[in-house]
Amino acid sequence: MSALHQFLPVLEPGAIGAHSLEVQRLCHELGLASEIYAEEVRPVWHGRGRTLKEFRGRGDDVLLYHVAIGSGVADFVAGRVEPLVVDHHNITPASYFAEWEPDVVHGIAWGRQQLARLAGRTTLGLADSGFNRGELEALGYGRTAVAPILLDTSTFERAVDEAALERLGGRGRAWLFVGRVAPHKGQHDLIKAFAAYRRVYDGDAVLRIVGASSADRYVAALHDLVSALQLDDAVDITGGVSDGELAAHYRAADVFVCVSEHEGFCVPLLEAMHHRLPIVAYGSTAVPETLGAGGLCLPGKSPTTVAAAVDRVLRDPALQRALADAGERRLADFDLSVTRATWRAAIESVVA
Amino acid sequence: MSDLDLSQVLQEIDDEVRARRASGDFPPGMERDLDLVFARFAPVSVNGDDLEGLISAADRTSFIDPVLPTESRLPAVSILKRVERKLLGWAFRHLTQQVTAFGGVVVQALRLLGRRVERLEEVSAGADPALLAGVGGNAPAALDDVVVAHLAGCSGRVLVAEAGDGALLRRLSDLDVYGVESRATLVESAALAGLDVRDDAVLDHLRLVEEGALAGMVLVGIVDRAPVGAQVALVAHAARVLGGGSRLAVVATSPESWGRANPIEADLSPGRPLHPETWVHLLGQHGFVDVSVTERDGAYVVAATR
Repeated sequence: MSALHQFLPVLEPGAIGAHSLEVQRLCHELGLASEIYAEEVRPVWHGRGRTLKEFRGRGDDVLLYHVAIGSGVADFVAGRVEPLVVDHHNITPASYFAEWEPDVVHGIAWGRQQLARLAGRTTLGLADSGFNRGELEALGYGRTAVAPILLDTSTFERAVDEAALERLGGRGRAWLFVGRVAPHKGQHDLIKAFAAYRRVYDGDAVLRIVGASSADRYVAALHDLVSALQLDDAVDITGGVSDGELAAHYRAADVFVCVSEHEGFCVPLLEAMHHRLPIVAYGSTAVPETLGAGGLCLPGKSPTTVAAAVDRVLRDPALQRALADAGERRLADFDLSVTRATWRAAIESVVA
Repeated sequence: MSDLDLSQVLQEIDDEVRARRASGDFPPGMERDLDLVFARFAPVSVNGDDLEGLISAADRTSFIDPVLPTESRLPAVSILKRVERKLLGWAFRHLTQQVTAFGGVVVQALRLLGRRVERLEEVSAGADPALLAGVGGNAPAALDDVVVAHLAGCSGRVLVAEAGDGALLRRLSDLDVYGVESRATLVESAALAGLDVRDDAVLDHLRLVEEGALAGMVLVGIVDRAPVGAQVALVAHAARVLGGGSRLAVVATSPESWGRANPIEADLSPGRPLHPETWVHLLGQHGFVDVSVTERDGAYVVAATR
């Protein structure tokens, strides 16, 4: 066996795109040929991947398919004869979007159906987390393993946009959440918890919700919620930001708060650890696993509990330092030197 | 802080929330009020089980548009798409008509099903809570001291369901206690008295409570009137939401005195109280231990530990 080729719907900058490039690099180090094929390669990454029609497989190649949404690529790899490895990055349940963002329901439902259909065709099911692995096993995948996403955590170190940092400074304690603005990420619950915190603990605090969104209706509801709670001056829903602005947000924040209800891994937790931000998170789905001992993991996310937890952290500098230290230690578990070893073993097990 | 003991920190957060609730900093109903504010802006079906709202949403989205969009940043691609639409339009119309027809039939079937459920609710004796408005609501109080003693020392949230007029909540005020009550007049009077009572049906509320989130629970009122299926569901929910070592008390009227003490409620309710032996059996089946029964003045308490 001499090649492992990867397949995904779109090759673009982002966690899965960067992961696929790392997998490719690892394959090359192992002496394997490795190309990335996608339905679409974003112009900014032109030359890093190829289109599906360019694929010329040989029977002894291994195909690795990255699952995150429904796509014609799944049908493509399902119809091939080569051994198949599925890397499950998780698909958010459609129920979160049915009313808010009905346009994406089809892609989600399609993806889940494809994931189930690939079970019988797959040699090895890889998962970012034990939570994702549980989903694979429930769908009937025979051989599975946890292989965390390959992330070069040094890329979290970005040049800070100084102008943005200056704009963000000089206000009260800052809560930060980074991630796509979507119903399952629970930004509405975050705002509720923040409202409780402002009412009882710190009337000058600010909340920054950073991330792009395609759920316009949900974003509008968040803005309405902020206005109804008279928090317009305290809550900033930024939308997508530049790398420099993102770095400024991490630098300006005092605590990273996550009350998401569904995560297959949750990369922003690692980024917060990298920036030595104390983390307060609701322990849903894969969050406790990714967080490990690197943050405060809450069993519930009632506004009062989250508010009290954030206060507990912010009024205790020693606890903040301890959580930041614990976060750094946890982040080390996802260092490329560790995760590449896991991936190396997984790859060798299918190409041997 | 050299050794980070997160369980200790979590315990301190629990204590802090309890103290803030007791002091009124986190006033009763604050969380419910925050939920209600967001509910004003969320789609109807996100906030409950509004069947008609959901069916209407399904109706709105059941039409599949056969007309393909032809916009493109590149004029040539737009022209290509228009040609493609012209060439393949008949095929898309053929397919979408079938899918739309299917969707329409499914929506119609759902409406029919909804009407049948409504009729079933109409003929189910006492299923309409409005029939019981102003009737009953007095849970047996003769055994309150037994309940208070059983729950003494519970460290964590304690739920009283149903809360009724709040009398038992007051007796348990040393604990971090809250109530659930679906009768609006009782909720209002409890709120005016400064008690933390949520306006919700007990089973609906329990479905939303996290696993192991409660340290204690009192089931009262509802266990006199609910159908057998709902009573069994209460036990299952209690087993799920109570953490290890938590306390449960079931406070009910004895079946023998139920009709005599509450004739209207007894006639109009869909269910009736179970015998204490039945609770002992059900609780044992769900893993509760140290189950004991105390009977007094036509009422009983079944006390158990999770």
